[in-house]
Amino acid sequence: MTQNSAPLLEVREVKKDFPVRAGLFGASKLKVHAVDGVSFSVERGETLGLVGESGCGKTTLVRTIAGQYRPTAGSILFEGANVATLDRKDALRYKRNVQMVCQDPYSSLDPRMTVEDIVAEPLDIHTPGLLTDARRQKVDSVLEMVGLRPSDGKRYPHEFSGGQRQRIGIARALVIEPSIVLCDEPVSALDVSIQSQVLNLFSDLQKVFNAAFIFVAHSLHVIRHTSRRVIVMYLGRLLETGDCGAVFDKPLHPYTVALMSCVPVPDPRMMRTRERVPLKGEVPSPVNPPEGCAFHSRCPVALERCARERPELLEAEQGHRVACWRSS
Amino acid sequence: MKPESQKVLEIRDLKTYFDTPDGVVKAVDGVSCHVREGEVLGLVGESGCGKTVTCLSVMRLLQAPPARFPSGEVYLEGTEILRSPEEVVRGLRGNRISMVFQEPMTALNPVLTIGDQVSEVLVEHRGMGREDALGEVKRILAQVGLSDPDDAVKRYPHELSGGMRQRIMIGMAMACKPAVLLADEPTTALDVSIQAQILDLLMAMKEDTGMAVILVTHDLGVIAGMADRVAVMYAGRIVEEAPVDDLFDDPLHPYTGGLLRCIPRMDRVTPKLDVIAGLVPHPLSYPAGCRYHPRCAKAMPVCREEVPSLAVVGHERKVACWAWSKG
Repeated sequence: MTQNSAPLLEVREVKKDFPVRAGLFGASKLKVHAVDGVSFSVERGETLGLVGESGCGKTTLVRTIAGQYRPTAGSILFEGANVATLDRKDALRYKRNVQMVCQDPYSSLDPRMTVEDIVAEPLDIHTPGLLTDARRQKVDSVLEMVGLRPSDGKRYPHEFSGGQRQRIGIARALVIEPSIVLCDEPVSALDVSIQSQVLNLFSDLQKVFNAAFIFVAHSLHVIRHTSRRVIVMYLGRLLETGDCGAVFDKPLHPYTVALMSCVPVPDPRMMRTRERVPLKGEVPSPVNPPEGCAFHSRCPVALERCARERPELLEAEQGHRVACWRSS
Repeated sequence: MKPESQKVLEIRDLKTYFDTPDGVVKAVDGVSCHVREGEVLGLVGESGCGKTVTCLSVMRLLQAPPARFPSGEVYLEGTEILRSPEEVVRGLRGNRISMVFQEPMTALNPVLTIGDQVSEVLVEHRGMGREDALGEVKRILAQVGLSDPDDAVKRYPHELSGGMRQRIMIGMAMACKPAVLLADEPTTALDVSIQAQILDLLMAMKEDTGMAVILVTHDLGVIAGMADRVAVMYAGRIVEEAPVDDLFDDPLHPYTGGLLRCIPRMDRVTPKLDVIAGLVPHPLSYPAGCRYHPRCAKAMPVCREEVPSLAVVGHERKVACWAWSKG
């Protein structure tokens, strides 16, 4: 497992279906296509944003990477090795290297555990036999890094505010120095004034830990501030990817353009004058996604071809790829 | 908005307290504001600042006890409703004043069809028969943008998407063409593309009927796009009130300025975001004086001791800050 030329993480044509529960008799043939053929890679130490509306498969994809779901098709490669075929020891090493920060800081911390035990849990699993003093030291130093006091380790989650709980969740993810941190909507449950504190904390931590961060968010602003590269998802598919600067300043996919024009900006004059691309209707059901391009049913500039053939993700400019017949 | 238009809703010194085993929660503590015909007043603030409790107090939807109103008057089209008998309020609620809630899944009754629950308002306030009411419901649902009203009236809430449910909530609230609509975070649970559709719908309905809207949200982007005037709340009080352009161009209260600076923006990427230090105070232990002073960079000795009142400082501008009072 030491092919250093391989990317840190590679997601190759990953699909994840969930069966729709049928009635009393027989299995259903219907499936929710939550992730529908997604490929991308993540390099060491980089930050990647994953953006899309609810139901687009962001969370399923992240959970599949975390090993909580087994992909229906395709593979996930960690340092060049297929995660599905790792032996026990390497599988444990993979799990140690991939940690997650959850969305809801209220339900993701065990209310009966002290903060120290919560934060130390990954250590207890992955480095058993760690001496009490060393364990305490590691917890204390990571608590300080996320802006809490070592004495907070003796307290319980309910004694903390939402923003502080999210800091505890971040400390738990970072304590064993993983190489990939998956952050699923890490600030969407927080108030604006607290959000900015936590976003700043992330950018500080990125400098300290040489880990790759994958940020999942529905908020384009949050992605813009945290990530270097971005992936735009829709109905389980990848529509556009590239550097944040390129994608947000010069979006190529009509979905990205529309999404960006819908985001409210705290500037009344801009809100009155800017041109909006309204998106018709709602996201189609992932049980029965449209033929061709997944977005064609809502696309303001759809061609006849878009309803028939699925466009591939092609490079439009250096490092900026888009799946749209208009661009190819 | 005509300058001479009527104040259709006026709230004067509203205080809503809750008696709890741990002490008195002063959720709303002296709020005064008004909204005129055809105007959108944005009520903005972080969670726990009292936005929703203000709305629920005005709608008389709070159970008392534990809620009580040590002071306050609420005038709806000239009628005081905070202390009116329940029968009077029943005649007005859903009729002259309506509310759209944040979570359309929990706000709709899961065991009633859409047709049944939307027509209830019309049967109650317009005295319509069930058949007539159902016809009117279909017309309303078409108006709020549901493509197949005949089908929608037979559905139950769980069969519909969040966006459709919110459209139905708006349709229900608008059924009797109220004078005032309280919209409490109407789009917070929705995706951006659906959010834009729902906000457009609300604006179109407002243009159509000339109703007054109080739009409650924590999203300053939504406020910028929708509101004519804005009231900023912090810890149960209004700290600043201003026309929307003035508020964003030149915020007077340090809290407003802090909020505006700490939002990440698409068009302005900085390596570090500005932050407001500290936490929102706990409602059981508000600091003395100005409730923002522990987080305020410009706090003076007087801020720690005395409460600044919301004072007029310019045309339609009010701020509760010692830095602005000449005293």
